[in-house]
Amino acid sequence: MLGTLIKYEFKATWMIMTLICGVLIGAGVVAGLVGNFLNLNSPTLTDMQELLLTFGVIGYAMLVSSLSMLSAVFLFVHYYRSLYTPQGYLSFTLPASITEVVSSRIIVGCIWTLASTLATFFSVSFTFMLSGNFKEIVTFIDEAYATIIEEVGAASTNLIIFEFILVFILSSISKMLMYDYSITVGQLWSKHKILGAVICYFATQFVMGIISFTGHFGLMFAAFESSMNFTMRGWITKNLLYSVFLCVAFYGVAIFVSNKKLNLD
Amino acid sequence: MNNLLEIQGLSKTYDRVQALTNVNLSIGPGHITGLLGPNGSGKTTLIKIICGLLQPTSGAVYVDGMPIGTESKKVISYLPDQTYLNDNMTVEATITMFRDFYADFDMNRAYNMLTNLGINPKFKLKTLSKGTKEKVQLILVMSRRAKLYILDEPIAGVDPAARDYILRTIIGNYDPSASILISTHLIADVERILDEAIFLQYGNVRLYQPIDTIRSETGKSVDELFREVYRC
Amino acid sequence: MPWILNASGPIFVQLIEHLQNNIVSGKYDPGQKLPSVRDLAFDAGVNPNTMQRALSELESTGLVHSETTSGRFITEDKKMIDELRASLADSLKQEFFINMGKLGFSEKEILQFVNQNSTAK
Repeated sequence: MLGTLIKYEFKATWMIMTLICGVLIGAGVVAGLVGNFLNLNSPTLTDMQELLLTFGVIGYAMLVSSLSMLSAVFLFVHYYRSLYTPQGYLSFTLPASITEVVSSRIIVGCIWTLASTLATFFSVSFTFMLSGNFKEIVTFIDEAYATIIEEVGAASTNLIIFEFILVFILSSISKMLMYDYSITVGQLWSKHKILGAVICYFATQFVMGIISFTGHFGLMFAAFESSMNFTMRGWITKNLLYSVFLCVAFYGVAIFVSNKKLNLD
Repeated sequence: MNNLLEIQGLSKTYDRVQALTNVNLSIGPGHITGLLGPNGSGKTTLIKIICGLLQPTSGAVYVDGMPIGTESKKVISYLPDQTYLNDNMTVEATITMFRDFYADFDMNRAYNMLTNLGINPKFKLKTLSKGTKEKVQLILVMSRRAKLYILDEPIAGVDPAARDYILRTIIGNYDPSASILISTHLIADVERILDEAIFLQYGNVRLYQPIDTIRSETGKSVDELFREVYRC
Repeated sequence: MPWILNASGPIFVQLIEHLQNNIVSGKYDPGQKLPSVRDLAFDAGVNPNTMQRALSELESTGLVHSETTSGRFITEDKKMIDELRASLADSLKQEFFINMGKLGFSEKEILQFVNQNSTAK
């Protein structure tokens, strides 16, 4: 039954989400081509070119961030509507367990979050590659990469990069899970369920703030005391574990609360 | 014979308001039972608990001997009092969806009813009137071969001509071993297809009797009795 | 004849009256097979259990009998049908006299009134 549920989740979301991902990648291609056409690498830029560059960069950044925000909003609105409005009367009376119904939403949400994160990544990459601009940044990344390889070896470096990408993806997924979890926990309020979701979101944000604050500072103090122990690897691995923990915790709480306290009134 | 619906000591409290108080009911197979009561008497709350959409504060519900869960949902065909379909879907897509989810769904029956009511399956739900949407939902629900049909205000939004068709569809389609629980305000319209009535008041079962017993004991129709019992 | 049911009085009693009328008026022939309970209920727009009860009552009077495999049949006893017809007509007549009496008609006036009605046609 989970398979059928997931199939219908994709049917309900694919149009908007493919559009968002497509526009993200398309914007990257266009930005790259425009950059290339303007030839911004020449040592002397006219005022006009500088103006275009500034607005172009700002515009592109705004577009990308608003699109990823749009995808997050679309996904959590879909989660809310399909479970906690009258549509939930159908969702929760299908011959499937509550765990399956909620999981199908979360799984498809994760897949789309992954897709839009990748689309953002490709969008930015295309901008760089096609424009042939921003040579300094590319050189800087190359140099940094070489330095790390010198320090820890090629195999470790690739692992670090892999872990870094994983942390990046997991943290965007954990953000999405946090919205879903907040919406579900908000249902525990007997009235003002949306207010409940907002309160839950900020309370969780606060707790997470404390955790990462102590985490980072603890790490820094530890680094001062024995500077040998502080490694890039260690830092990334800790972040990775933290992201995994957040994902599991948000998912677990959402499923638990749905099973014990589902009340569509 | 095993009861299709068994409710024992069911209570539900919302935010300190008692919506249901110690409700006990047993409905056997082969009945069309009216769940009657004024607004706020607990009809919808009771229905939602049976369908697993609300958690009871105390008490137990068994459907065909099973507690509320995945197995009970397989045998209940539920029509809520609101539109619960995604407005962006076509009528056809909702039918395919029901076929994919419910093993007991009968496609032919659904398409026959759509034809009889003159509903174009290619239309998107958002282009349909409120009454037509209700008809589509009722068609979906009645096209299943379920054991227990639970219809919350099934004819409230449809015109009298369609009402008659719908009520006949209900009697014509259900299997004699299945039961139907209908909650409604429109008692006069529905009365003749019922064989039992439950009167709810302030979250309690005030009366649970066969229709003809009510009629011969009181000399009144259930509709008249209802107006008398709940006179304001 | 459509099934017209009143707001008061048990529904199964009204169904019995309707079926009796159909039998004595010849809409159903003696010995004819009746439609199934489900079809009759659908036709009348009533609950099948109520229709079942009405048919069971008719069976107990002997007007209808059921064969376990082939369904329900109207009795072939024409005398029984005629008697029922006579008794139904008789009770209507009694009722008519009573009601006319309430309007202040004497028996003689009633008979006169009925005769006028038939000559007027």
